[in-house]
Amino acid sequence: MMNISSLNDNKIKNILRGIIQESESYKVKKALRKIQKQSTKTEYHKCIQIIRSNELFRHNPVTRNFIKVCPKSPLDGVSFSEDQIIEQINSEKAKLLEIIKLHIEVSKLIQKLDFMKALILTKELINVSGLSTYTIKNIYFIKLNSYRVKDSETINIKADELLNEIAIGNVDYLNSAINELSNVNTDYFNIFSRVFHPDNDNDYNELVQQYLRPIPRTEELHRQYLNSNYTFSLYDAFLYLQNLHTAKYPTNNSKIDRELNEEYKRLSNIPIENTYLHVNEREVFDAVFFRLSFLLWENKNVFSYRVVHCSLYNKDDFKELNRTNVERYIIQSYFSNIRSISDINTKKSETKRLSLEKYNKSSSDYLETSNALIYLIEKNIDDVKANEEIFVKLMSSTFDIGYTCPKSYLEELKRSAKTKEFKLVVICLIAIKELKHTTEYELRDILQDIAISNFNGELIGILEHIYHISPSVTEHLINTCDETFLSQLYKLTDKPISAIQNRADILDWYGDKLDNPYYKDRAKNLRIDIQISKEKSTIDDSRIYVDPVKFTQWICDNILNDMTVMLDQIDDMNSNNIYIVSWEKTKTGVSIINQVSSLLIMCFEEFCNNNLFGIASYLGRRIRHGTFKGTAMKEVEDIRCKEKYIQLFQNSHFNEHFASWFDCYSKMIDTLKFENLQISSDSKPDGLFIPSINTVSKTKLANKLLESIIKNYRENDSNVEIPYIITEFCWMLVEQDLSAIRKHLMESKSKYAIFRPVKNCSQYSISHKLMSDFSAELNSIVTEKFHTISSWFRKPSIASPSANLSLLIKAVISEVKDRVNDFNPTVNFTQESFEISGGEYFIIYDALYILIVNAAIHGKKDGFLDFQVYSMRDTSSIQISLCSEINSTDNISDVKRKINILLKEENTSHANIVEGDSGIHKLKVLLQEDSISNILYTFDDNKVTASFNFKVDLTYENSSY
Amino acid sequence: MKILVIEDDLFKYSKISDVIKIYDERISVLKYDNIHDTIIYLNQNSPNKIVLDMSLPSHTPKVGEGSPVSLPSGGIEILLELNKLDKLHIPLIILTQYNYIEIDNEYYSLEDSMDVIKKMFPINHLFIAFYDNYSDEWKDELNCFLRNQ
Repeated sequence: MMNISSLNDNKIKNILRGIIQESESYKVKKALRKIQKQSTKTEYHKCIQIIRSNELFRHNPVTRNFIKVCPKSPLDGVSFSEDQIIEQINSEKAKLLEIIKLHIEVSKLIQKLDFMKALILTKELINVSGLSTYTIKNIYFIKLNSYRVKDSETINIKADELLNEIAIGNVDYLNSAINELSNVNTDYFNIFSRVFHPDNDNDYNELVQQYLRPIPRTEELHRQYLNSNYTFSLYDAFLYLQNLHTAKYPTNNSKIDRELNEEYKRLSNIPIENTYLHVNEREVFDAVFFRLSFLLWENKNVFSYRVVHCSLYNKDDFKELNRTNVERYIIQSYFSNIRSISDINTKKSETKRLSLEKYNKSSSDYLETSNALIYLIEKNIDDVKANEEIFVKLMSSTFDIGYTCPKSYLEELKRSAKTKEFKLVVICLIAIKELKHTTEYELRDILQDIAISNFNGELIGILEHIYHISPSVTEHLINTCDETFLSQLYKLTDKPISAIQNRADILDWYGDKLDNPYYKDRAKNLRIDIQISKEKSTIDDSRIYVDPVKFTQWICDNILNDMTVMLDQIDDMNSNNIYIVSWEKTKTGVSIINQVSSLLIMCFEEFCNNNLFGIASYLGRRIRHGTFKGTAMKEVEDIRCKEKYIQLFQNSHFNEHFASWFDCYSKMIDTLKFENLQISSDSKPDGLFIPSINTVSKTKLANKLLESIIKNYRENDSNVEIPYIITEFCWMLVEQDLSAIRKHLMESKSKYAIFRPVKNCSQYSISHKLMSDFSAELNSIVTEKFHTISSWFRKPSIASPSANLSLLIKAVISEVKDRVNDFNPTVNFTQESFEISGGEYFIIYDALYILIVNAAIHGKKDGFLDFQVYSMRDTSSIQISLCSEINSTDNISDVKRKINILLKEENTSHANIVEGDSGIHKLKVLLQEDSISNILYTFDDNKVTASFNFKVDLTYENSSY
Repeated sequence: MKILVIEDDLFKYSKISDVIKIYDERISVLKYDNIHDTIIYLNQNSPNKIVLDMSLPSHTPKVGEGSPVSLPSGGIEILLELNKLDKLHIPLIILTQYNYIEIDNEYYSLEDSMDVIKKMFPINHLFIAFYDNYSDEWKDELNCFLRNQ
């Protein structure tokens, strides 16, 4: 311990005395800054060491050798040499020994899975001021593994209590980083790029950088890393040096007291319990362990395992060049048994066991195999070139190769490719690495080329072929070949609907291949879209656009990791998934639900406001610089020049009348352009795009979005679908504004754009006929223009499917007509207008299909079909009923008896397997699934009326233009 | 001379067509409003000059045939196809309502995008102009492009 008396300068001594017992960080920092200005570097260092070690300064929250709570806003600009810190370590030997001994006991308990005792001992460790980042990481390790033991809930509560006690809030950034890095559902590469972003100057960022790149690449970085550890606690600095020393990084560890070195060896040699290394249940098990490994890297094997995989599993295209010799040596030792591609595991290991010390082909899992492949490509790319088929096969036992394999190697493999399959796979990898026009074009080009030259233009042929070599490549291609991608295979797709057709065929094929109904369901839904598209009597065109790839990428880059960590904290108690959120206050709310909601609002704001890919981008082009005004004005202006109307315009009264109308029309177009067709903001208060949750309908949609995200995350334990759910809901939210805009456009047209003929034409010597012709033509032009402009403000159907109920009914009838010969009913509708959005209409389609097929098969083929649709506001549902005629040869009592028997039957288990003769079983399945309710059959003379209810959000505005 | 105008906005097309016709009414103006049809055409034909919009739909919207995909960088697809067909010697003007062009996920000002496109493609006769309905500048640039041999 150093004393104030060891200082030479009295002035400095006095400043230091002024902060004895001081607990305000700003006062301590202010005093230290003063000292720094007035003293030599050595003297300043001495001061810091005094306040770090002397008990008089134990309340200072800025910097201490040994701590019980996390330091608040650490000192910056302090840099001690390695020797200076080692000197400190040696001088605090007794305390460090006390801490390390407790740490050893905690580690042993963690390995025994005795988490409760480990936490109790951790508390003791903290009580003796032995808190370090290692303590925090150990607590997190326990939390994340608590599921392995019985009393996990109590353990988690205890762990959270400890985190509170150490004031984890003081080190928010570090805490979030540990949280995100250890959560397997967050995007590792995204965290990596944020941590190493040059603008990231967070106080604790250097500590976090080490978790991702454990070996410092330069001496300067080593000094920074050492000091960042020292700033947290002396014990952190001690373990940092020890870890590096074990990894054979050149440190001055020989200067560290022998006893301390010996104790560290005991700590780092505690064997890792088999439970953590040997698991069958989880896919990508080693990747899960890798994500947690920094929490336990006081163990030397875990540390070197982390070094190996961090060095290979990253996006650095120059990783080989940038690597230190220490890393090279560790990687080389780990993979020393790999000389050719046959030394890498191409099969799924029956028993997965982590290989901490050396790569083991027979038990390796995805991460180890992936990095083994990268290692081999670096070491011996010619061997990979000579074994193209094995490389393709390896795609099924590796992951993220597209990201982790340096581009130069992929380009080299592409150039040397001998088979089309290999080339296709390598181009897929390049396209994953760089989402560029050129690479995507290249991928589409080779797919079209293979399909046309080898598989008669059939993509399924390629998928089938590749599936036999590597199912994972097929899976990747299936994910890639969505409707948008297929639409751009211009040599195979002649119209948009063919892309949907092909997508449905692919999903059907894949569903059969995997025997997975999920893909079959998606295919079926697409086929319904196709049927609906065919029935649409208008051109399915819309202009408004938000780039889905860029928007989802933005969500992944800026929102997803934070959201994932938050979603993990939402408890499961709320099984009904009902969350009440005050969306207008959510940005200032502190609860987890409020924080998640706040992120969702940020997404919606970005969806609207982003100038490059959002609604704002479209408005900029179309409205500000674009053809909005031209479209609205040109033909209206041109009508003056029409020969037919020259005579009219020669009449001064008419001229005045037209000029007054034109002025009004022109002003209205300008108001639309400058005020209304804008994103609402302080400078554009009348903008009709409102990037907030400002109405009851939007609130309901936003609540539904929140519920969907929480539900989806819980059910899948993955965040993969979240960006797509958000995108779909953003479209639903903005549809509210679009609907208001279309309404506003039509109102403006009615108010200001209708040209009324001059009254008493003859009085002004105007031909009545000519006047009428002119008014009709002008109004027709204006109507057409407004119809066109209005169509620009329709949600693109590809963004989020929706259909009008009457269209849905037409589509089902059309499909049934294809199936049942001679079915040619007279159809009547009595219905309110309902727009059904999202996936909901697939359920109605199913139910309608059953009713209409029944009517077609069992009823009168050329009889009538009466549809009635009513909203039932009390139950928030719509009721759909279908009345049909029975066959003239049938008796209504027999029909009634038959249907009633089927309705009473309890067994519906075969409904989806056996196509019964009435479909009522299937209808009952929909009832049991709660998809529909209140199935009713009534009988009257020769008519059967079937009805069901379907829950919809009736507050959702169902108007459309 | 045959000029291919690849433009999906009817109004903008009429403006472009007017400028071309005023320049030389003998020029035959051919219009395509989507990428699919343009690619099929270019695989079999070579116009003398090309006027290219950047934001294009994948296909022509037709009743009952589904919704085409809107592609804000659809023009790049045409450039890639011309490159593959070895037809980048055809003089080309990009006439866009964006004041930037997105190339490989980066946004470039129209000025910078000239260099980027020239680096990406072996293209010599390239013009880029910003179409603003309320300005005549683009007309001057289009005229300049038409005059250029």
